[in-house]
Amino acid sequence: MYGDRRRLSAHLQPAGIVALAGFVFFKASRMSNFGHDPGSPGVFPALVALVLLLCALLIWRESTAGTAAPASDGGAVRSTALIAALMAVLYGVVLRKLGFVGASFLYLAVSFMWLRATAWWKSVLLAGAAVAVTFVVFRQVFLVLLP
Amino acid sequence: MSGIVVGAVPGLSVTMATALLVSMTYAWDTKPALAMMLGVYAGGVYGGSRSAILINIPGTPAAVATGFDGYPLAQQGESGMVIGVATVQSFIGGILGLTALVVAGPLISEFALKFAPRDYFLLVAMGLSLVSRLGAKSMPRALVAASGGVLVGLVGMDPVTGEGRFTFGLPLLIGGVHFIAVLIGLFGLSEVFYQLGRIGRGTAPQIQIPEVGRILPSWASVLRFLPLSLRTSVIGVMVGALPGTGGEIAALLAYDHAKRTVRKPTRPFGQGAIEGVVAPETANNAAIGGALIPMLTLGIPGDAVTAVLIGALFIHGLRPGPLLMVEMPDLFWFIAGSYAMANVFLLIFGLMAVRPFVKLVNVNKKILMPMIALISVVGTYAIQNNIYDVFWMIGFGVLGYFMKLGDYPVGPMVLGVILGPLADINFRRAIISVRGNVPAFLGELFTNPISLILTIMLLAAFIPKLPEGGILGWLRRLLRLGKREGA
Repeated sequence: MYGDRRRLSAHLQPAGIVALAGFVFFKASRMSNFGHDPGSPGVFPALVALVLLLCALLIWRESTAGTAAPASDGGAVRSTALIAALMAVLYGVVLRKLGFVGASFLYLAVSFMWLRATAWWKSVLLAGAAVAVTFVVFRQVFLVLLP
Repeated sequence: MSGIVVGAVPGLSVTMATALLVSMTYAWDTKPALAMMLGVYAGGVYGGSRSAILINIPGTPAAVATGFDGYPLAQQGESGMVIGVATVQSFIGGILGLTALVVAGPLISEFALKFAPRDYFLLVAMGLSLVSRLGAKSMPRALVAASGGVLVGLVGMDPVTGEGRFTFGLPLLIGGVHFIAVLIGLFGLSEVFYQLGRIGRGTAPQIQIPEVGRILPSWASVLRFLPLSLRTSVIGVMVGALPGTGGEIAALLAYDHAKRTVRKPTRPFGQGAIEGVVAPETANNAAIGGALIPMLTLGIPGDAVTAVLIGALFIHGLRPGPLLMVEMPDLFWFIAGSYAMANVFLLIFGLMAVRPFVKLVNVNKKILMPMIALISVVGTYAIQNNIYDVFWMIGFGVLGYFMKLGDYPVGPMVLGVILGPLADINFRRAIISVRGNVPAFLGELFTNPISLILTIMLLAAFIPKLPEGGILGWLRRLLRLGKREGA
């Protein structure tokens, strides 16, 4: 099954890159003076599309010939990483609604508890302390505005 | 000291820390902001050796080679000595890199004033091809990453015609995607996801850290390794000066050089040869001076961190390149002076504060990683006080995670974001200068002496590895084959 997934990935990745190259070329060709003026804003993106196309072919050859180096960490998506990514996205969404202090406290406390970094009450205390320190340091020392 | 901490803790990167500092020091004057970033840069490159030596997990990619012999030495009870050697050699490499910067910088800047837009285009294209060729397991994957970065860099209003490119009619995209948001996402947040994916929710294994003994190396040992330090510093400066390469490549090349040239190492390489620590540590810090040369004189980054520093200069209203050297020479000397001070403090803090730093190496990642995500959000928002930069950063963080899984390196993508618009504008200026005559443009690539050299260097970057034994070996095999067939 793992071998089937790798074979699928060996075809899907180059196909995805070819699709991207086609899309880029299409958009480039719609830019002003494309095809008439070598200084058109679409020329450089079109060159990039060509590079992507060539690379897709090389990657497909690498993958099917078995000469590609094994993917780091087995190439498997870890559920912890996915959930961490999802939490980061949700953090971004609630940032505007709750403000920096509320959203950050919630994000840190939930992350520490979910990761089982420490006991739940320590997670809450640590999250609160971290947000307070971050707020003071960045507002007072670095003079940056917080979200 | 912050740089040493950042470098020493696996999971934190110098590039990410410098990127966060760019946005956080936005309200500061240019010079203190640059001084802080240079300190983090120098300290961070050195600091990666701590965890490489103590727990065989390099804190930065530039410290990978240091662990080959540093870790075995630490296991043999010599952790203090090897940390002392790494510190002193990093200082030596840094000072030699600085010397190269102050000597070569003004000369190259003078020479670069003669560069035409086509020459800048060639340099930038060479930088993108080198970073794809040298720094990745798979060149096509690295080129895809670099191309993706170039496309991201082109998003927004075209500087020549004013029309939107890849904006899909959205006002949000007219201003483009800020490269700092891309950088923090790809280097910072994606690493958070990657590290959390590796450690999971289970109990993290306790890593045994060896006791640290005597740290300060003797003068005799410093002088003994000085010839090797000098040679590997030259390697470091030359590699660092190549657009798109950096300390990690310099360190590996220096280690390889030491293996091939040192006839009687203190111990066999890979089993605790001190030369195996001297070579990479000198080279990776010398590479910093090397990387600052193209950054300041040509406006082209020598590595990812100098790409960030270029961004810092842009944010403060300055444009690095030969004109900056002419209009603001004091800034060049300030940077050189700050880098010198950074090396001095690297030596002082590196030798004094070994034992407290040892504890940092084993910090709980389940607490550290969410904190890094928080600081990434703060740092990204600080660029333009625009919440959409935060969303871009998170998006690129997710993309960076999947890129790492698929072995698409993130470094070329970041460089593509920065170098792409430079390549585009210089290419078009070059075309405009020949009034759209493409044959004339191509002709100039081969008739102008500077352009010819750069064109050859660009084409050479795509030549595949020479066969074993080089060209002569290939010829010999061909002749032997011919003889067998004729017999």
